[in-house]
Amino acid sequence: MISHLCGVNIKNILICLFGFLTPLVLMSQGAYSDTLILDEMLNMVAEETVITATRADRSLSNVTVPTSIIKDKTIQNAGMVKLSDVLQEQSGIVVTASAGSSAIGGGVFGNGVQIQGMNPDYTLIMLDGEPITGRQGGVLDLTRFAVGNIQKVEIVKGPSSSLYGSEAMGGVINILTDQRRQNLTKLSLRYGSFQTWDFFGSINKELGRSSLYAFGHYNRSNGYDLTPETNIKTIDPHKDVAFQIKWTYRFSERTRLVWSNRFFNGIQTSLFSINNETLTINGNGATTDLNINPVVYHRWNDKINSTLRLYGSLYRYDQSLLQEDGGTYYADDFIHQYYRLEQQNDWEIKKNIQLVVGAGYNHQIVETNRYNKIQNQHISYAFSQAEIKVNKNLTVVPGLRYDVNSDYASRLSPKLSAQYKINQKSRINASYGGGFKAPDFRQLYLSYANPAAQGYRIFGANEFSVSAMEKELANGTISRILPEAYNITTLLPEISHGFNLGYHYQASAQVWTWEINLFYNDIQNLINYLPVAVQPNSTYVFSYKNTKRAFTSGIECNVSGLIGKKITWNAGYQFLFTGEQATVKSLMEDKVFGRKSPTGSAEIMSLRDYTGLLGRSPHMANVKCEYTFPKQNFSINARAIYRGRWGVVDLDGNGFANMNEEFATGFVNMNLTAQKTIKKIYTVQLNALNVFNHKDEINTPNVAGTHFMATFICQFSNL
Amino acid sequence: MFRNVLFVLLTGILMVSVSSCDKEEDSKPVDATVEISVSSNPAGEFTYFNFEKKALVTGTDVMNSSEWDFGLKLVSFIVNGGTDRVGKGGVIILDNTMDGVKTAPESGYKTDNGADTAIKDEWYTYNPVARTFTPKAGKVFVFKTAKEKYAKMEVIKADPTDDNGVIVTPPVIPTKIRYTIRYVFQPDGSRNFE
Repeated sequence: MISHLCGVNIKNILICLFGFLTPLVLMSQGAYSDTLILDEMLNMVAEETVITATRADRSLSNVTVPTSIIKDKTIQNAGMVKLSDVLQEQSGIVVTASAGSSAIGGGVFGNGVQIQGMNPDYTLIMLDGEPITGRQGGVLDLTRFAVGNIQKVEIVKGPSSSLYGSEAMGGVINILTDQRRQNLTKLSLRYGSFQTWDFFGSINKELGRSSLYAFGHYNRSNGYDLTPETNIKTIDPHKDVAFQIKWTYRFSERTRLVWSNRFFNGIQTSLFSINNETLTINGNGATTDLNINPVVYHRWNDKINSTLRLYGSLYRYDQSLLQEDGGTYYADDFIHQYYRLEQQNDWEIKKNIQLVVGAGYNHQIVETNRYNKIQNQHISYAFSQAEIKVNKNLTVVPGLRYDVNSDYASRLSPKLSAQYKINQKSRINASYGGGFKAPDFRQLYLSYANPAAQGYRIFGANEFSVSAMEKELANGTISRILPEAYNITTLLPEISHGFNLGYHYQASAQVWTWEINLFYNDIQNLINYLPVAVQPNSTYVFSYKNTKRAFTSGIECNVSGLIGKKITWNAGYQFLFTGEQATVKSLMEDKVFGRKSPTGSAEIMSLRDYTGLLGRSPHMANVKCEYTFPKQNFSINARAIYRGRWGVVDLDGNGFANMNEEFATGFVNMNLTAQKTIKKIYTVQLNALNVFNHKDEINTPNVAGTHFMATFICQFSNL
Repeated sequence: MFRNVLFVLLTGILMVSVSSCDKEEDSKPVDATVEISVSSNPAGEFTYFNFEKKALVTGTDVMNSSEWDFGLKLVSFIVNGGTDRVGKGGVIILDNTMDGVKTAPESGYKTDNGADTAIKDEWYTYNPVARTFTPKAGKVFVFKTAKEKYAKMEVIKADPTDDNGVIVTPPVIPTKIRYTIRYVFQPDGSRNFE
């Protein structure tokens, strides 16, 4: 009886606590539900910290940079399968689909992410704090990552190179896999349109000083075809398997080891015909990804913690397409090895000053049929960041990182951010950050000749030599060397300066929360390919050079709240304005020409005609809503994601979209989920995705037409 | 040699879509938009055009005649003037709109002299991903024809097609490039385009 009362009391206390924290939860788009059982509430309370923003666990409300968290509950309630599904529903994030040859920056290699209007190359994606490798044409395919083992995803927007180095220009996405100390077994089986089968199982087990987490995932699909009249499928059939084993061993109260291994293998099958359907091509593309990641945490005393991280990663993409006559149509074999050692210390110098200092070394090896030889690259780096609480309202966070490397210019990345708490309800965040992105492998080492009749050739900056071109000129394999050839030199990293200014308000009555963030990113030394010589057939030889400068700027707003006790909702909107400074200047001088229709004569363009960088939607919005029937353990969840029209192609050579034919039309992606939980163990879920049936093979091949899924989840304690 | 040169009017090979050409007055400039399909094979034959006749020039040894003003193949453009040519033509490329060029420049016309051709690659961009050539808006070619009359021209479109004129996309390799070209020709021999 007494114990029962105690239980009730604890429960009440937790509910109060939970109520108090609800606005926080909502702000991070966490799931709120009256039906949550106790231990889940405890989890939510405990999880309200973020590590990515500072490299140390911090309460989300104290973080000085734009940060959001997506929790496993949100992912599960929305019935998401792949990381790309999760990210595409977030405010201010576009999941892009690229098409075209991988040799030059397009890549049929799946879906990347655009944050604050920056290309997929400029967002660092990490798994448990370690960078994920295997970018193809600059794009890291988000469909490679299943979500069943994710505990949460942290997203930091704006440059964070002062902590993470290269690639952290637009933002950082950190996927944190399950680390809970519990005894839980979870099984999920899903069947859906396009003959999609998805299965995953996971076990958390406590064994004395050890915690074990094991995860296995299988996914297969027939793919789909948005244009059945053609004989090439939009998305090819694929089969993926993934495993993760994470072992935590506590040597003592102070020291623990977390050893994580992950394996992924995905195979996609292509079958199509060319030359007026006279020649059949078929073959496979296989992606293999293997990571080993032991990390030791040690607490020296109350003030100093150290972390030692080792990371090894092997990524291979091997695609071979054969013609039916036995000839090779396309072959690409890319192997990337990445090794890293990193040491970090967190030191509380005074009650109000926290210091993070660390250093690391990384070695990368790349081998592909498109490079002349095996390429090696080393990077050494050191970083430091202080968190200073000036007074009870003001926190200032300065940071600095220095990267030295073997193949391109070194880079110093500063950062300064601050938070001012106006009162209990509202706070202001401001930050400046320097970001950089190292020239990628193809920009340095590519050596590729297109096998087609009009074959262009392309050389990475380190592979290109004017003297070789001069020899070719003498031989007649080149008809003319362009002046730019003499300007190809060591590439500089692409750099950015990013500014963010945000205001956050949470009503104490926990009814609603809103936040607004203004951002401006100035990106310099953008690396572009450009023609350096003309071949006798009038096609070019290309190489890479730091050329352009561009900016992305905008406003992001998020609002969330409760209606009664049953409805939770949130809405987001982003306005984006991007462009190239040089183009803006030329437009003001009436020096830019363009056509108003594909068959029209050229006219002088004005600033009003300027739509900025291709691939950017000026307007994006989302509305999400969940209705819960607590007694029935039943919930309905609806999400509508709008992406306004965006420029996709330049038909008149001025570099931007200014006629209707140069734009992709905007669309709304509407997803519905209904979920019922039985006896707190079994969950049945039905999904209807893209219910408005948006289809655009050219511009959004990653969005299938309307499709459906049914999922069965079973979750029980395995004590 | 000239006997061998045959003029074939538009139909089939050359489609003239538009134009405002006043027939009453011969000396008024002719404003025409034409489509010309040319070989996309760098080793193929040039296609030759005569501004005054608004027609392709075919036959044998056209190159060594003064019947053509402008030759095209893939993205190679040639003029009938210079050390290798019979005609007295030349070209100047201006950054302007068609309407913005009211008179042809008096001098400065470039000619084809061996590998040093008058028109190089300043008028297009090449996208290796889509494998398309995009004519840059705002490039006006001012021609002096083989017979020393003047024309201004802009390239509006360059569509990669197969032999039947159907637009193709990668991985299909085009056999033709279909150019849409607008030009204004002044028949009276003056440099005035108005």
